[in-house]
Amino acid sequence: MLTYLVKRISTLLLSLWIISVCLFFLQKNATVDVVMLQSKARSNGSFYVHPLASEKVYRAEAVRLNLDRPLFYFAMKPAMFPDTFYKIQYPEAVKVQKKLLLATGDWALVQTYFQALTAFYEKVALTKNGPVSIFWKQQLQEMANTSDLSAVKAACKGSDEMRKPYIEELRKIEGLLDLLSYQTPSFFSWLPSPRWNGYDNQFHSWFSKIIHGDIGISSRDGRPVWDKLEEAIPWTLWVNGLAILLAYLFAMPVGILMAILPKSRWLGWINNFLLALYALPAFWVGNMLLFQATLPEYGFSFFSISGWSNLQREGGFLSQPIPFLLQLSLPVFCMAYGLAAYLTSYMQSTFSKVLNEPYMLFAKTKGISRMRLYFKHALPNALLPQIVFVAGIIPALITGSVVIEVIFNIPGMGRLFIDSMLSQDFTTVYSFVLLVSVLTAVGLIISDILLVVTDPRIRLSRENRNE
Amino acid sequence: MKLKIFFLTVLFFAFFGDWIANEKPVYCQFEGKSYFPIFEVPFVKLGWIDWPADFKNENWGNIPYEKVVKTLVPYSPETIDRKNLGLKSPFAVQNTNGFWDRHWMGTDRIGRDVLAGWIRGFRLALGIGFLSIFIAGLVGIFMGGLAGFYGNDRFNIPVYKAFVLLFWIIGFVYWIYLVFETNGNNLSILIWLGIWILIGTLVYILPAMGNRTSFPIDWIISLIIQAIDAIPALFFLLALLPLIKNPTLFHVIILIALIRWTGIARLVRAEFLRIRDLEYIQAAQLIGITNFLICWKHILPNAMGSVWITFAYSFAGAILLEAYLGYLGIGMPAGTISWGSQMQQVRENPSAWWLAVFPGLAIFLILFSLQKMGEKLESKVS
Repeated sequence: MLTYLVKRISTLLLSLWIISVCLFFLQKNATVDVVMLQSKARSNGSFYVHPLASEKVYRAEAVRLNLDRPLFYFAMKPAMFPDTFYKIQYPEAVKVQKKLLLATGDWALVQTYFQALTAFYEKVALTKNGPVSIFWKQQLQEMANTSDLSAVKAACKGSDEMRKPYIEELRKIEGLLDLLSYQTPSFFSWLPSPRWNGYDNQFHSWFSKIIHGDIGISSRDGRPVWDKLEEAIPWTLWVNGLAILLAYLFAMPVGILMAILPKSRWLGWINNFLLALYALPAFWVGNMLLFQATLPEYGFSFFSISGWSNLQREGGFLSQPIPFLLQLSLPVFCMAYGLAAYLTSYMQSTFSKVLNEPYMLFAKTKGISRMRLYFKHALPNALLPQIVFVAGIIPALITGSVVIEVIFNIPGMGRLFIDSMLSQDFTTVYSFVLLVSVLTAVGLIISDILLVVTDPRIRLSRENRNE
Repeated sequence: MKLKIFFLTVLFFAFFGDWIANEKPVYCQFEGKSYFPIFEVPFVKLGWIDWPADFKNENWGNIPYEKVVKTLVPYSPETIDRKNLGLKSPFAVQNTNGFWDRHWMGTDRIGRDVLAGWIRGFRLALGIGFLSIFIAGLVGIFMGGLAGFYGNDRFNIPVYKAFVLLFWIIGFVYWIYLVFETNGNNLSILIWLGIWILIGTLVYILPAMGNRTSFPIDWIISLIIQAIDAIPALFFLLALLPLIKNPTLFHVIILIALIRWTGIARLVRAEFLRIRDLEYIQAAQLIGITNFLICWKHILPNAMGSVWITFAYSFAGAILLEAYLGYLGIGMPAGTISWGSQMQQVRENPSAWWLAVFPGLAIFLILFSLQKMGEKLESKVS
């Protein structure tokens, strides 16, 4: 038993670690760049002047945000790449320099070339604005943004008058261009050279922060993600918890009744009805309920789409339970009916399966009363899979609650997620996905362990199979 | 039987929707000449048939035909009917030329016919559902079969080969990555890739030496499945979408497949684990049939019975996910007309019930019949 638990939990931790690695890289590759946003916001306009200037601003910002470090514990790049390639931060520069490096294979040369470009730009930027310097600034913009050597060479051309003030720099760049165009990477420089980056990498610090409960700061409004979540979680818990409770309250008695009652044609119809209820998309029903039934003409005015913040301000359930529950009634109903339908037929099938067991027949022949038979002997056995089942449906429930929360404007986790998604606040989005997946995984494992603890047959079979 | 008829109707809508709802007429006579516009579109694109200039204006409703046979619904999903802008109810007085041109399901805010969009929705939902489940099925059966057939104990290879295998896989991924990075036009990388594959085959044929160890395929695949299953589907989908700058339907299909394969793989794995220990499989192994043939011919057909059931349920799940995406307005390419996007419009126009009722009804009917089919398959298997 203990070995099973240890095995199960260690694989769980491993899979959560894999998820967090994946999410970290997703976050890094998402279309919004935090450093870019920050450097645009904080540079007082100097970011927009010129690509070569923005590269400097960007790098400074990356240093400030402590992001000028390797991404992961190790990296595997072709041998021609330098150890410090991650120091190049500005996305445009990374793209161009990578292409040049892959084409020439000589990092020192590429580096000298870019230094020459930057030196040229700095000299141009220092001189007074005139037709000459404006011309060269434009040309430099082209040179900095392309990895096509002939295009750079063409951009270097100009009338003698234009070239005269900067002739030294231009000659240097042209010389370097010639050198670059003759270089090709050697055959063996393509071999991978794995490098160990040590613990001072971005993933390590991100992950250790998360372990300590700091899941980051929203890149949109600068608030800690945890604060946002704290406001949202109670709503989601209320809606989902009430929905699960209601569903069970409905499913238990109805399911048992359906299993006990003699088989008839009605039962088939009820089964079909339950199946239809289960297939009825909750977001459709919610949509129609919200927009058709809450209009004052139909007489339902207990729900208001903007009522949530009022409830929050005035203290929620404890201070005014009835308006609170009325406000929750529509979303909870939408969440509950499908679950209830599913649980009812599940309860029915497990209960009738239990009733067909040989030990039930034995109990019957002993002459136990019906009530005692059903509630003392059948119910505990049929109830177990039901309770274990709850943990398994949590992922589906959370998915469903996202859409319901969006429809009913509930300030819960789902809507927070969609809002952050639409405002491209990916720090929140990915912390969120991580949190939800941790919750789900823990839920799944609890259900699994419950099952194993309570049912020795499953435990034995699993231990034998070495799962 | 009823289910079959229903699915055939749905398939009919999906395949021939463009011939049912189209602004182009089936047959028309214009300036003394006869045309079959809806059938002629590809030939016009190829330049084999020439259309008069009036046809190229894309305003088919206003052309003064001499004779015309319109399609059943004389609007395309994208057609904007300027005379019926702003949410005309199906029962309201509509400004149309006649009975045939009525908007039977009303119009939306910018005057598009809801019925035409509704018919288009079939193709979208079924296409996305079918393709994603097809891909998910391929991946799921492959991964699940691998995990289930070999388990943790049956993929026995010499220790040195196990090490080489690990090393080889890492290298292979590396070379493939480089091929993509250089757009496949760097000769040395292609040569390296060739050398790598050669090394792989060489080690594969090398004789077994030393101790043997079992490669834990099942453990690795189960770990991946567990990791993917821990993320709720919609979150997974929405977390991957920001990676794609301009999402197309193809991306959506691949992403849904990426979510859905785990369910299929889990089932296939369990079935393979069960069947591989049956006597007829052991007998087949004794005769010396190759592992691949045993899996393909003897285990898979036996396992498929319950796999079809998951297909039915996964299909329903994929259609629901597609509807969610359309409804939330995230991830679908701009301007895609689907049931979800039609329903989304109700959020801004609460009184337009026809935008919610009809698409929702279609989703409900398809989901219901898929569940029903799953139930039927289940009772057949047991």
